[in-house]
Amino acid sequence: MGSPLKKIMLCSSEKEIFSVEEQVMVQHSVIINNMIEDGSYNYEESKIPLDCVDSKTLKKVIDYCTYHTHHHNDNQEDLEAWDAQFLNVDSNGLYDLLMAANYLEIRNLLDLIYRTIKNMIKGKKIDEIRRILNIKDHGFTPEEEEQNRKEYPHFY
Amino acid sequence: MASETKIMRKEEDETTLHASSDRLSDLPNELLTMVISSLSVAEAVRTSTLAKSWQELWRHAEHLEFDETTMSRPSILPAKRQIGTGSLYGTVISMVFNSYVGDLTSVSFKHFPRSIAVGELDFWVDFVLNKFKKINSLRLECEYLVPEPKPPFFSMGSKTVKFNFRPMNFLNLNSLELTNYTMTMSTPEAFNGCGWKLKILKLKNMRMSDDVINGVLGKCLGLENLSIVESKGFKTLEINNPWLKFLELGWLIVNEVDLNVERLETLVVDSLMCPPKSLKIYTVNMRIFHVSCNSIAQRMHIRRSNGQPLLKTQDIFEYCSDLLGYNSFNIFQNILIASIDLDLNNIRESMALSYILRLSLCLETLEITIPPVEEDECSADANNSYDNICLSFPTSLFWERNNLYNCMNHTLKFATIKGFTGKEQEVKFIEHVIKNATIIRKITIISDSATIAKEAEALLILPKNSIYLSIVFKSESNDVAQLTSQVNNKMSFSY
Repeated sequence: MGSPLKKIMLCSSEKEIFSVEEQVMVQHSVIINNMIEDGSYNYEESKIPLDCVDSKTLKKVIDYCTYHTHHHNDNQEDLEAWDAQFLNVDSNGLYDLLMAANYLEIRNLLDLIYRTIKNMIKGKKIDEIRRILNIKDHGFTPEEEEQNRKEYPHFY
Repeated sequence: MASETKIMRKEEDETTLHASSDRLSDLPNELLTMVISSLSVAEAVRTSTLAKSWQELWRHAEHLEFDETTMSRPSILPAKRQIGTGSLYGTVISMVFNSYVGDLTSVSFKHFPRSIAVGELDFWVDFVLNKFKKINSLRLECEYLVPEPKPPFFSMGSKTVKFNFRPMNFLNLNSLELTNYTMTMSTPEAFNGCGWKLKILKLKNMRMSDDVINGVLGKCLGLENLSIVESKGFKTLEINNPWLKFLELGWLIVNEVDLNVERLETLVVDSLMCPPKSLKIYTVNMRIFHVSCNSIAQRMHIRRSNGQPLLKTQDIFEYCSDLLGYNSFNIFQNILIASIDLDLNNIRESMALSYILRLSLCLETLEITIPPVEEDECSADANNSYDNICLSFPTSLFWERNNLYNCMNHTLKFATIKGFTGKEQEVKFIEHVIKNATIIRKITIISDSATIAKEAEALLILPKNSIYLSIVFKSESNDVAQLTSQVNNKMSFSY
């Protein structure tokens, strides 16, 4: 556990450097917590390279962690409203965030995104889900697809 | 490589700004499986027809949720079945487990009472717990064809179904949720060996005797998170679980509650019917304290049920502190967040609050919900006049006394007042906060009344003790929202 105002450096795929309160990332990201705890992070010179997270996404992830660190005492409704606003991004943004949250192991953010995707496809017909997830090529042979449609007409 | 795809996508974004260029379905299979795990079984299985690459994914889902109440009848099944030959529900479950190949860690069965009558629920619970040793979370809920009245009522008449849990059933569980069952005398045996492993136990609308509930709690010494809601059949609750961190008690009618929980961090009490003197709380680490008592019970004028009075926040304040000499240690000293139902217009409730604010050495967030004015004014007035007799100075001076020193002076950061109607005592309390809290950042005042403009303006021009303070007025109804923006325009009150 570092002191609250200690900063760490995160480096995005575009080599842009973000300076964040250590406490914020340690509390949320299992990976960064482990790095700090096992001493593999050197405060003087090292920065944590995140080659698969672009600047835009990293900035959002940091926003999420910062907000949830400083507002964890807020009431549930306000937090949920903030989360909903936070995830009001296009599905590419959602994809990037999910990959980043998975890479950094940020459990709350992962759960939040899973819930959001679940709500996007819950109760929808297969054709609709294909449109939402942009599955252009479903990969079934025409016969298989026809068989499925025949067997489970209420899915489509 | 990552930067390459990034650049590609940027170009795409610019050319086809609103076209759906979606990559969600390109997610790695582990992540897609996690998404599928959050769906009910029927929906999860359905995703196999989405695309060839999705076909096998659901078979690896970590969580399966069998919800009989939302299952539609597959056309391939015969229309009529005989009881005993297995129901549709059982058929679906066995079809699913025929194809399932994953490492199940969490399972949920929501079913109709018939599943217990024909013995299939026992069978499937045993089956999954024996077959998948990694299961750590189990949720069982019995649903009725006739829906129970909602929102929750005191569940005196609501139904439960007797379910015989087999001994040692819950041996490997970390989390167990049960809704709408009767626990029998032998139920505690099902918890044999749970010992330190079971961390989360949620019981909702359960019927259980004193011996059963206290027996179960005695076997689950490692519990960290316990919730007992809308349950009945017992009169005494003894909770001695040393590792308990979260406790929720809601909609219970009891004679005695004895909490000996040293490590408790969060206490949630909602509409509890219990004599104030019989509520005993021993804890020293409580961080979050949440009491609601004004919800539907009060609106329905349920003041007493089976001879038990509705426990009010003020009762807990008075009987769980040394205010009346009942409790000599301070359970409030470490509280960070307090969210309470309390009538600031009632001087006795205000006195209790004032005393507790002095005991709370760390309080950062205070949320007070003022109950709506009761239609039955006579009884309310009668109560108030009884409560008012003890002051030696005018009520309006209560929050202006010089010697009032409490957590506001150094720790309070956020205050929220819900149900503000602009009455004198409510205004005086908020004035007290504005004038005394030195490091407060935000006061939120939520009101449904459209006539608080004058009070709002008066509060906004008060000299503030904290330079960081912003005061926000909020409302559900549009009238007040407009009014707030008018007030906003007239003066900038946010620093």
